[in-house]
Amino acid sequence: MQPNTLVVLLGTTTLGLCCGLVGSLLLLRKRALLADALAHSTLPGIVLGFLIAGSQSYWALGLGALLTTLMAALLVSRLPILTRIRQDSATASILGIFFGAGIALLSIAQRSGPGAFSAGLDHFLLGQAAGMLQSEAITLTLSAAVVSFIMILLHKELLVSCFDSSFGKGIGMSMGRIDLLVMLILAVTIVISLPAVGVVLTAALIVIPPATARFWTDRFNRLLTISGMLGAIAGAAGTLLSSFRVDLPTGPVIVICAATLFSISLVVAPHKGLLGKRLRWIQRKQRREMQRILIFLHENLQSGNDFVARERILAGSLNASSSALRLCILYGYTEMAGTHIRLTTEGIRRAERSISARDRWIQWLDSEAEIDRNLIDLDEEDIEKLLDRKSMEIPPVDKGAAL
Amino acid sequence: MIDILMNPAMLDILIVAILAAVTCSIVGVHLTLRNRAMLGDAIAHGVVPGLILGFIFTGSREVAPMFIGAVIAALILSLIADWLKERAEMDGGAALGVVFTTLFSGGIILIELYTREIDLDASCVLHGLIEFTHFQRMELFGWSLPRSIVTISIALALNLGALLLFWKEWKVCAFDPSLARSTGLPVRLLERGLLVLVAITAVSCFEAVGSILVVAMIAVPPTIAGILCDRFGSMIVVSALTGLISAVAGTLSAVYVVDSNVPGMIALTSGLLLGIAVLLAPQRGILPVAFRLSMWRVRVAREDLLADSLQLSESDEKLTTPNLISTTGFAWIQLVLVGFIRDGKPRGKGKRIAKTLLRKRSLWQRFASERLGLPPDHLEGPAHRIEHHLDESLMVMLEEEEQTGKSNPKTGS
Repeated sequence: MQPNTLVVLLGTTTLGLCCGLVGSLLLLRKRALLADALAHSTLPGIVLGFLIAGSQSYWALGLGALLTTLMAALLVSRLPILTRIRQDSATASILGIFFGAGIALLSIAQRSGPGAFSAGLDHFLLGQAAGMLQSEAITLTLSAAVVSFIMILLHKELLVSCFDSSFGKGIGMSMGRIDLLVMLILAVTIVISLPAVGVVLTAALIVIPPATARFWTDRFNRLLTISGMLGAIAGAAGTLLSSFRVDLPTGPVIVICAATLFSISLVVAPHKGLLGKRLRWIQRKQRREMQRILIFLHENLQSGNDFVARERILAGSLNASSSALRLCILYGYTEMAGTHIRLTTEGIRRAERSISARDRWIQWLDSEAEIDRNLIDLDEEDIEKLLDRKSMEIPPVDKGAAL
Repeated sequence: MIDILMNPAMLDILIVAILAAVTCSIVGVHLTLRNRAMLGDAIAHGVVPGLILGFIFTGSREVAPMFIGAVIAALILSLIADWLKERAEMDGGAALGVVFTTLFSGGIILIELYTREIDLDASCVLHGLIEFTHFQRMELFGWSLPRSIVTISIALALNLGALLLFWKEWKVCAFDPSLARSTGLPVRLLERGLLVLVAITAVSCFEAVGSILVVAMIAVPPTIAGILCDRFGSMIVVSALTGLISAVAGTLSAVYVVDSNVPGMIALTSGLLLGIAVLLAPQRGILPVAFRLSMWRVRVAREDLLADSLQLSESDEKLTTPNLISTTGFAWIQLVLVGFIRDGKPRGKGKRIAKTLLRKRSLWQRFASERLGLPPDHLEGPAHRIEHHLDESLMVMLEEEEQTGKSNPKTGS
């Protein structure tokens, strides 16, 4: 490992942390794509900074970029309020206009500016993480520290501003100022990330880690923590991976690492991951089937059949699978006797519990006319029962009317 | 203008810019109405791996494989983003952001690994090759035409054809998807078809005019049209016109005024138009709205002054002159100039206006307390505000309501 790799590693890790933290605020405001628009709107500022300062000094370009970014942020948030423009259209329009203006200015600067403007568009778009200087790494680390500090200090205000800003106004918090602060933090983060990872990949680092963290938690503080950590891990892993091969560009590899973490979380995260959701669904379905089997056996028991043929359970209208039946046996609710099935005492107790719960539920539905149907998660069996009983009660009246 | 028409290379650039801008503006209307304007930007970045893979697989710089690769990449991008939004319950913007940045990074890595020796640099994709339009020609029916004019014309024709064919269907899908579903329209298929159209349009314009122009033209002209229009048809027309104006003004200024990049100047021009629309749009522009609001305020002040002076004159008092540097003062000056108020007392037509206003106030007050059951001692303020909004027809209705209410009280409607 070259000594410079350590510097780059420090820089990209803290960069990932910083972007992950800021990104969660954007994600919760449903403004994730704002990051992309603001990253693009740095271009005119950079070129203007160069044209005015006459040199490619880090501070001149950075200050210019910061100014246009803040201007774009202000426009994107104000335009939908001032007139009939949707959020998404405002974001896309500002992106196109600012970036177009940047390109137009750039072609002027490259021709007529003081000296040739050598920082090509490619560097701006893709960044040069491998060429990170020690001073840049230190700037990144310091900024990450400041951003984290602000977030810890103001986490209550930020939380309120993300979820319920009218409540915040009600208890006397200045929501406008908080929003401005978030924009400022976002703009600074974007501007300091540009030299390392470029426009699009900055947007990626701001969007992907929070989206990943969202699969793992519903809590604000945890979202911030996980998102920051994921950003840092992606930054570190990407830098290390790209240091193995000379021709692998650091920025894109970092993003691919973040995307890999995203895909893994998408599948395995217990909270909102696809696998977890699927498992919970299967579990629910199986419990329903077990319940139906037990009730069916109990009804048979009442009418004197202790034993019921296995085929009758599986082939009947119960809509139950053999795996649910196996589970019944495994839990000790039923026992096999040859090809026949019988409830155990444990099973009888369980079936009686289900029946009484079901009856109570039906009774409640029956007596409460004003229920929100969306809140009820019914079995088709329950619906049939409920409707049957009603249709049995209604016909006498109907018949009388018809005759 | 004359020398542009004389110079064939310049004319070609202008035609390509106009065609591309109009095509993108039309397709952008669909996206804007569905609140998906950022899709243009996402596609601009997301097609990179498709371009590169098309290039790697065929090993040639022919247009066809790269075109097909890019269209496929754009479709995959939007399908994955939709899937993430629906199945993984993600925010739509975040889903799009995750997918296109990842695809873009993958594309950059592919460029670095496999195509280093060829110059497929990013700025070429961004700027496009609009300056060289004239020199890349193809033969068609014995005519020698610039290639990009042909491809973009095909995209434009495709857009217009599909638009006319599915006009009603897409309109319903955009404004009321649940109505569309309930009438049995294949909403999913229609939306997917739209995505294919967007992908083809965007990709065919990238090569000719660059992605900046596409991103800007998909977003800005439809946004302007959205401010100005209330109907789908007029939105399409206004959007296309705005695209056309931006293209012409942008190209001309880039070549003759500031000597700069053509797509960049077109985007900037459209931004200028957007600024004008936001400020001056007759219905929703900031200035007309502010003007109407202040006119309304003056009218309210005028009516209040007349009513006050009438009430005072009944007890033989005079209305004192208000502070002249205020809305009320402005209203006072108007009233005195037209002679509605003389010596602090209402005269002629002013008297009639004041009487009507007081009549409205008492009508509303009685209606609110008797028919709406509001506490009478709280009605002074609201009646004072609402009296200005009661027009003749409402007044007649209230009077009739009062008549029927008297003959048959407590029937609350």
